[in-house]
Amino acid sequence: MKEVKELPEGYREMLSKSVMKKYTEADRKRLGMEPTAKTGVFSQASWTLYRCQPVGGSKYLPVLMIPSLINRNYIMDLIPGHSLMESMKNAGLDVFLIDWGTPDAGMGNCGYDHYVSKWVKRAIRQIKKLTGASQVQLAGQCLGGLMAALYAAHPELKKDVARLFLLTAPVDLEDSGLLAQWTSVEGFDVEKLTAPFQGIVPAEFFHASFPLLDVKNQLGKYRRLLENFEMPGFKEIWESLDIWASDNVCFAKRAFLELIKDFYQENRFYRGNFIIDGTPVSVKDIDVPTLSLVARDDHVFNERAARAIQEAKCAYNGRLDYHIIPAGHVSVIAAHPARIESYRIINEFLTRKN
Amino acid sequence: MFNMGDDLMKQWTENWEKLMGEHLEKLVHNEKFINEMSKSIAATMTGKAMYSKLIDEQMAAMNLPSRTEMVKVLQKLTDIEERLIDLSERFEDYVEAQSRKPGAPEKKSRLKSRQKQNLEKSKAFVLNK
Repeated sequence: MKEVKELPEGYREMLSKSVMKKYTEADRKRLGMEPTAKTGVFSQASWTLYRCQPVGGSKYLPVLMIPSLINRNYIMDLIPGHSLMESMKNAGLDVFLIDWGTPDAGMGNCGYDHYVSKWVKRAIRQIKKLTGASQVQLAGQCLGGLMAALYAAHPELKKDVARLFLLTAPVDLEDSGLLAQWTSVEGFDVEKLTAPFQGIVPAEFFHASFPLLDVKNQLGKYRRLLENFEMPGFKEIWESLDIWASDNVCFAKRAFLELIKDFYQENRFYRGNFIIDGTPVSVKDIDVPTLSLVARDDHVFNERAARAIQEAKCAYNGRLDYHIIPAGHVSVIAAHPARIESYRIINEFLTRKN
Repeated sequence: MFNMGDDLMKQWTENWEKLMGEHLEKLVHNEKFINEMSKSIAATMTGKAMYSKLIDEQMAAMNLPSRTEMVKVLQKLTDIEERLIDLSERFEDYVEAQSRKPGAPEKKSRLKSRQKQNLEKSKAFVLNK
């Protein structure tokens, strides 16, 4: 029997960095992560509003992109050629992006109502002031999409929104995947589970369970790297995604409790009794033109979680674009070749004349 | 990139992955397992909460601020920042509304640019003279 081949050069180093989660700023620079130039225009508490302006200005309504609360926002601006922000900027869109930063214990009382009716509203106010626009195109990814939907469903707040773009965003969390199953088990008491945490729920607490959501994929992670090691561009995208996945953020405690109790266990947004700024809101009340981009192989929120948008007013008025892309939760915009199709659909929607 | 030895290794790895994957998938979907896991984590967390309380009490006995108190102070600071920004926005809105009223005094920026224009005009006038 022939001898087993040597491992390719650099594989061992990549493996050890990934396993030990020992990535540095130099790795991020080497990979050219977050390639799109952006300027901070406003900041409060832990969050900052950034602007990515196209050269020569934009003829379209500004876009506000709300990222998820679970991970960092640079999944939307990963590396050159794998960046939604870059593609939107190249399409001539004036994009504003929220960076939620790292919440501190002082934000422990801030729930979704606060995030939406205070902070998203304030970000939109700043955008209006800077651009002179009277409305924005509101976009959100994952839980950021849930926030964008909450905003667009509110009878007063929705006046700021010309269009809504939901990217792998859950609006109906019942039976939305494994996390929904875990939280619906009898005896699952989130108050007890988070009792010792004051103000924030540490990232390690809930991120430890994330690999279990996609066990098979996790088990084959390093084998796939080895098999495709010589493929041009594979190492770079694999490593940048691994850096992003290991860069976890803690959660403001109230927002975490609401996510589990109000959204997962009681499905309040779908049922129409989640309160934003004193008013109950329902996904069914969304009537602005909406694009919902769903990932077929999403292991965080399945397709069912996004489907409820088809029961909203915008669907009955023929103002809903609903697309299912054959990719995963983040690969839909960051890695998979299907991302090119995602960029095309997104930019076509956001640069539409009417 | 694989030869015969590698092929065997590859096959073995794939089989292991498949078996482990199926086993773990079943486990994470098993209601009994989830129930037991959540109970055991809750018990650990209850213990941790009691320990934190104990530390808080010891800090108080030493006349030092506890973590609970620090968190309260941080939350007050967040509230104060929120109120300050709220107030400044209301003030901006008020000034904007006032400046739109008929007969309202000109906005400072507009006034400044008009003053600048006048200054340039007068400079040009002096030069022409």
